[in-house]
Amino acid sequence: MHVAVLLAGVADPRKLLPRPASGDWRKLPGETSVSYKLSPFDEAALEIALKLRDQGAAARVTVIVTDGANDLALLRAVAALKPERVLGLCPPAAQRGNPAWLARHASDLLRDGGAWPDLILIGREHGDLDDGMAAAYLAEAWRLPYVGLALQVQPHADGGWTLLRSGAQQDESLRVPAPAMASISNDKSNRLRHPLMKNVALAKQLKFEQAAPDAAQPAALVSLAQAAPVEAGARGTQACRMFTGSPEEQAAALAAYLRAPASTH
Amino acid sequence: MSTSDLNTTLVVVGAGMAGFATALQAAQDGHEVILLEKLSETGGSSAMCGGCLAFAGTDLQRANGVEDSSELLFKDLREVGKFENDESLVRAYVDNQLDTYEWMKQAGVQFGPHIETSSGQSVPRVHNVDPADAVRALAASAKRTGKVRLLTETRALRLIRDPQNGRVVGVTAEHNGETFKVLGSRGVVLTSGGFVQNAELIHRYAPQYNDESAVFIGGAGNEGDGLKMALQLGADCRDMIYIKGTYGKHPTDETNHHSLLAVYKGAIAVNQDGKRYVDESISYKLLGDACIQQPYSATFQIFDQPIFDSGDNQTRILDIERRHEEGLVIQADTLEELAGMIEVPAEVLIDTVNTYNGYVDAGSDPDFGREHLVHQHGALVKIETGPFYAYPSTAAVYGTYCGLCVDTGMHVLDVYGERLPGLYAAGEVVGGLHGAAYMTGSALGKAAIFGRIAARTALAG
Repeated sequence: MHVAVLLAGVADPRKLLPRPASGDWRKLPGETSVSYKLSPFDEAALEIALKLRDQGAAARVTVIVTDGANDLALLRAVAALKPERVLGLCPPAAQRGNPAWLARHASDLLRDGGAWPDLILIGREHGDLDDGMAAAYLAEAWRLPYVGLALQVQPHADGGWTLLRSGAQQDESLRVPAPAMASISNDKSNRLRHPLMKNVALAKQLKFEQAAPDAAQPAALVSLAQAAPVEAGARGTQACRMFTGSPEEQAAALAAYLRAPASTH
Repeated sequence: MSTSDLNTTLVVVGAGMAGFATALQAAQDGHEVILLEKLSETGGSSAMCGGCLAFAGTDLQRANGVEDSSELLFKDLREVGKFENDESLVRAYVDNQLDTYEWMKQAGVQFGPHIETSSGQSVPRVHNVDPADAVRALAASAKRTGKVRLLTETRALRLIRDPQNGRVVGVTAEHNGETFKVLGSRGVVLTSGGFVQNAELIHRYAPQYNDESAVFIGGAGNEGDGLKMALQLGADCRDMIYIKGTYGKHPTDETNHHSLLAVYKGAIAVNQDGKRYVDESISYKLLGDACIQQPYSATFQIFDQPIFDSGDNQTRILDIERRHEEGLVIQADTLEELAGMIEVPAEVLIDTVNTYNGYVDAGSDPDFGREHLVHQHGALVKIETGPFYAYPSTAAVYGTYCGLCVDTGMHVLDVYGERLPGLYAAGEVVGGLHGAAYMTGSALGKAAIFGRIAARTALAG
């Protein structure tokens, strides 16, 4: 069985965005100097794929990284978990978050001799710019059976899959044949493992494939006209206020603070 | 003198535990203090540490049935430092520790009820605090005196000497791009911490530590500012070659910065080849040094369910359960399965554990000479009851534990052993207390103890 995972890095919130070398902020998303991290949803998708391999249900795991594909540290972090293959597919800046672009460009990378992987996993949000529609769009475009917001996956002897998810009222178990696609949400059961230092060290020696967008595809109609960094919020410009006194006095002060119009804070 | 220059009695550089202890002591003795902190937040490395203080003979120990004494503390500190530490400084720590413990309580520091044993301790001696709360308590007490002026986001740049007699009389400082002088009639106390955030400087003294091999964790401001300022004046240093990482930091987790020392509850440490490489009861600094020399600079603490259950959730470095809840502990039903998960040869790991268990039965470890769980405390236990666990571990440099030479009054000494008039130091910027290794709780302890001594000396001078 072949399990594939589509990952899109999200900009590392702990690091300042660097000014692009060219000075053109439109170039920023693809710059190698931008640090990306995996979202909890992507981490969960990757963990489920690795678990399936641990259980013998998957012979190999392929990972395609879209947003952040040029961040070597991100690719190494993924490779340190030892999927069989890691490759990058960096979308043009204006196509990030566009599942139509991804559907066109990822399909050939995913298919081996025309055959889809037995399971394609994707986080419930694909990167910083997906509003949650990427997973279902891709499944529809690729005409694969689809389950959204799965938390766990179990293999079936007949080659299909059982996907578990928690609904608002009940836990659900859904059966799909292979090949199939699922978006993954995160919970304690699919928290991403940590890599061994041995594999972190070995991953530093790897070179990663970068897929070039298919030149035969029609040119995108959307282009990034302008980009500029968001003005940073002035953290600390508003003084902290310490409530003192008895617990009752502190609670009353807090309540008054919360009731007051924001402009007076 | 510029109109923006400031005058006070004592200038203190760095607002962590040592800085606030110095400032509070000086204020309680009736003097004005200006405390400079280059960051926007106070606390430094002190607020981030494990919250352990090493005291001996306290009411808490007695309440926990622990018999301890200043003399035993002195003996342990000397031993764990391999007698490379400054005996007179160890004596200064010991002679002032109990009074400082009471002083901290009076200042509002809350000690947990539980006492634990950790690195370098013959008896349970770890007094637990929430470190950030402890610093806040001293800060609040200092503020209440009305004599301590705290200037955050104000970086001390250079020491200023009186051109006539060479005495240190203040610092140049920078705030919002403006440079000015802060002058203290009784001099300057450097409490600026170590240089854990200056990997280049660490690598210069301890070449085995670099960004590839170790993790560096500590206050963002700990870049060696105070050390460099004193070096410029000819100050001497000691213990620099003993910079060591602390063993037990998960090498790839970025959320929990604390070490876990399951070895002190009976675990063994094995390398990527599945073999032991050290006496696991020694100081976690020495364990860190041993670990960093292993393949990939990372090893595994291997233990079983009874050792897991003996963990202590009141002491961070012994809280196995919390690390398990965080998903950091690798668990398997058998040693063979565990070996597969950590990618060590199963037959080697099983042989290592069986051999160790035989040593426990025989009461002798001919390979590495381990006799106790930690230092000279606790009987060894076998690793035999599943499930079995592995905790990946590397060395984290939490502090530099070395630095300026000082005498027992915290005067900074020059390379000829002579005092640099008007210059004092306390806390992590000071070398000489720890020597070759480190007792748990002695770093935060020395911050408070030496800070108070520095204040008293400066103000008496």
